[in-house]
Amino acid sequence: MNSPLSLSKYTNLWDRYSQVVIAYLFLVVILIVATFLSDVFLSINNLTNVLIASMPLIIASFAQTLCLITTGIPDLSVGAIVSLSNVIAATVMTTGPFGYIPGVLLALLAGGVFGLLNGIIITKGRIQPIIVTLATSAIIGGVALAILPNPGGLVHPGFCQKLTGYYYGIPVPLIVLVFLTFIMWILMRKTMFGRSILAIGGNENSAYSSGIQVDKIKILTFVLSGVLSAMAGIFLSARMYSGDPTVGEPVTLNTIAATVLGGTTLSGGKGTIIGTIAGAIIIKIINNILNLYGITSFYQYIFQGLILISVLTFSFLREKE
Amino acid sequence: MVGGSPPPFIKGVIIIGNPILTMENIFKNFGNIQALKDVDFCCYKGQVHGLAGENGAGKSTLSKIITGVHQPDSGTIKLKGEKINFKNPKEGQKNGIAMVYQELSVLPELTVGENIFLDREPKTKLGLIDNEKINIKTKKLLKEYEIKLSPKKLVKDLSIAQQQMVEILKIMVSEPEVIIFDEPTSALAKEEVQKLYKIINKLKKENKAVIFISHRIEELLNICDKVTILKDGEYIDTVKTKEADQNEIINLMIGRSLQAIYPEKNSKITEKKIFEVKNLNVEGKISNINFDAKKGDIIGIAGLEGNGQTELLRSLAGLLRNDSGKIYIKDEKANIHNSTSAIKSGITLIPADRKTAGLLLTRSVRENIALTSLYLRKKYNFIKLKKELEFVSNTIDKLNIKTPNMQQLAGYLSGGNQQKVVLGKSLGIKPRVLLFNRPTRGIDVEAKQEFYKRMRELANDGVAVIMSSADLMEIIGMSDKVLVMYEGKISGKLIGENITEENIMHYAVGQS
Repeated sequence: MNSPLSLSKYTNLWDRYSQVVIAYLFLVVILIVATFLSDVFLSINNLTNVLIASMPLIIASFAQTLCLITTGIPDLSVGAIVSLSNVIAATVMTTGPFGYIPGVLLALLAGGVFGLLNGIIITKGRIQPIIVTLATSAIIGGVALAILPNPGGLVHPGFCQKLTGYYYGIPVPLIVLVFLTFIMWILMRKTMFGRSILAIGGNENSAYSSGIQVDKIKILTFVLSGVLSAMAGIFLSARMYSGDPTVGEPVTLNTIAATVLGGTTLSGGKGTIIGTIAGAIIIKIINNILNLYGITSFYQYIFQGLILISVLTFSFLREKE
Repeated sequence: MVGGSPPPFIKGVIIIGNPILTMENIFKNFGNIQALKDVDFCCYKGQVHGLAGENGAGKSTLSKIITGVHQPDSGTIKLKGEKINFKNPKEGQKNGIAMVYQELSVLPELTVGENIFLDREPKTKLGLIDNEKINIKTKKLLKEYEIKLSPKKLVKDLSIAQQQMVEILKIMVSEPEVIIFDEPTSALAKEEVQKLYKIINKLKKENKAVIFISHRIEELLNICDKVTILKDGEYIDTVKTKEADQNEIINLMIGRSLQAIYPEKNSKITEKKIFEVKNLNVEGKISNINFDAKKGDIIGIAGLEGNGQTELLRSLAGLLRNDSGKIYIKDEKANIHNSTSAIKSGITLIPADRKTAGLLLTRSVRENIALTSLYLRKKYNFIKLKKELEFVSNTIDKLNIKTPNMQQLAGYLSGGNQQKVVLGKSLGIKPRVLLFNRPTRGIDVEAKQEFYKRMRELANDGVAVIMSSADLMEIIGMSDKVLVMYEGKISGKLIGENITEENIMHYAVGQS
């Protein structure tokens, strides 16, 4: 406690941002490894592609980050909402007279409504979030299958081109990412909501005794998580040009791995948006490498499980320290 | 130890003969807090040895080291001349050391006999538990200790005093040689205390070594042969009770007079009510609570643990839904249905356990201090960060919180400073009623003193200060008015000169 002020300032900075720094160091390592594995990897063109490919996972991981910070428990319905949103995009956007707009709005609305449902059941029913989101993920997955039983449909092509194209020479996904990150950063840093979720995740009892409206904030978290997941689904649709009712299945697992890799702790109350971006890109690159080596999808599932376990172990050891 | 050389000498106590247990130079730290500093202790067979000291003096830590719950950081412990180092209480038990804890560990759903013989049940030939035998053995034991109880009765149907007897018998079954009692009388009425004394005298006659922890001086003088006094984790002295008097021990225990620790009480009597509670009920927890606070009053809520004190404070703070009752702040009715509405009417609670209910240990001092009053510094839903910075740094200065800077994680602060952070966040709302639940638990004497001063200042400034505490000294030293609670009701109100240990205990055990 008597350490010089300047030194303790640095320790504080390290305490606060070490997780982010570690995540980005890890990203650099993965980029180097990828470069060795493929000669085309480090081209600007390919890096842009990686970023575009990572967008759905990054946005879905934002959703997961909010839930993990607030409750310390992952939202298992993220992937199902991604599927639902994709299916809505592939069925609604093709027919409507207003082009893609009704599809986008409907997908976001559906995400928000299911998020609201999650939030209300969790807070008012006092049921564990993990069980609730497991149950709703089955329901949402079922709804997606009912809307589009088999892969197919068509997502508005003009919309897809716009969302994956360039604007004044800058990739649109990059613009969206910067914009969204900025919004999320403001949300976390400067609003009552951001402060409240960090408080609830830090210690729900203390937060409640300090006058934080815990239930209201939690419901809002799940609504936001639903909307962000739907947004991730829309981005995925723009890359696929079509719908697939099970496309979101691996997403939940990947968002948990990405979020924890980005420094969000499973005990809640700690995590950053910036870290999550690195985590999501790392997971995407690892998946790409697996694809590159032609590893079939069953083995990819095994890998995803293993990756999640290693990430959680790493995070646990780091926290214990 | 006995030989040609001069008798060994531990801090003024000459070791005569063969003590069954000796402890030398014991040190123990918990994080930043030094719980024991170079403590020596020894006790003998056939004697009752008292351990005296205020809350936080180190009595419990020392006894938990003896039983093996804690391990000393350094120092030597010898049992019957042999060096020991118990890794867990099980090892201590095997070596004949047993402890009757303040919190009872009996299982409510089992019978008296089942509790007593838990983990050493007599078996039938088939290897099943022999209930018949348990009951016969229990009957014998109960008779031996002159306790009138049925072995088949469920423990949940017994009084606290009877449960404690069961706990003691349970320990006796293992035939220990050293038995530690941790404040055993704190939940007992007078007649029950006599029964306990009888048991302790019986143990003494059976040549057992008894260690008796208490902060009640009279009791120590009554039952013990010797008393060792600890203060702030340090060994002070060991006195023979035949030669000591009450004042001597008090002076040793506290190290200064009472007035020095507690600030002067309210001398100006005002009639202006600033807070009033009418007919407050929480089903199954508290009933028919009525009291008021006048300007400058500190109100103490006393009683044995679990008689509704915490529930009363929690329901006033909106953390526990009250079923009926009216709360007035300066003649204005306050509608309290959750913590948010309580805070907005100016009522807030400093909880008993700052780590689980007061602080966000993994968040910064700044975020912690700002949290409760967040709503006062916002525009739409954005936090006015500049205002927040100003408020937080003012609070740190005003309360003299020792932290390298405001970004430090609250979990890294010492207990006293953490408690100041909890107070600081409550002061942010400009409170009109401040509720303190065991405000000075686990903080050192200096921090306590500062905290008491602060509480008195708040009371003088017109805040209604209401404090619940398990520490009678604290209640007596701080309160202008004491409400004693028993089974969820206020069983007695005491003011001024009438606030004495005896009077409080009288009401606390339900006598009218």
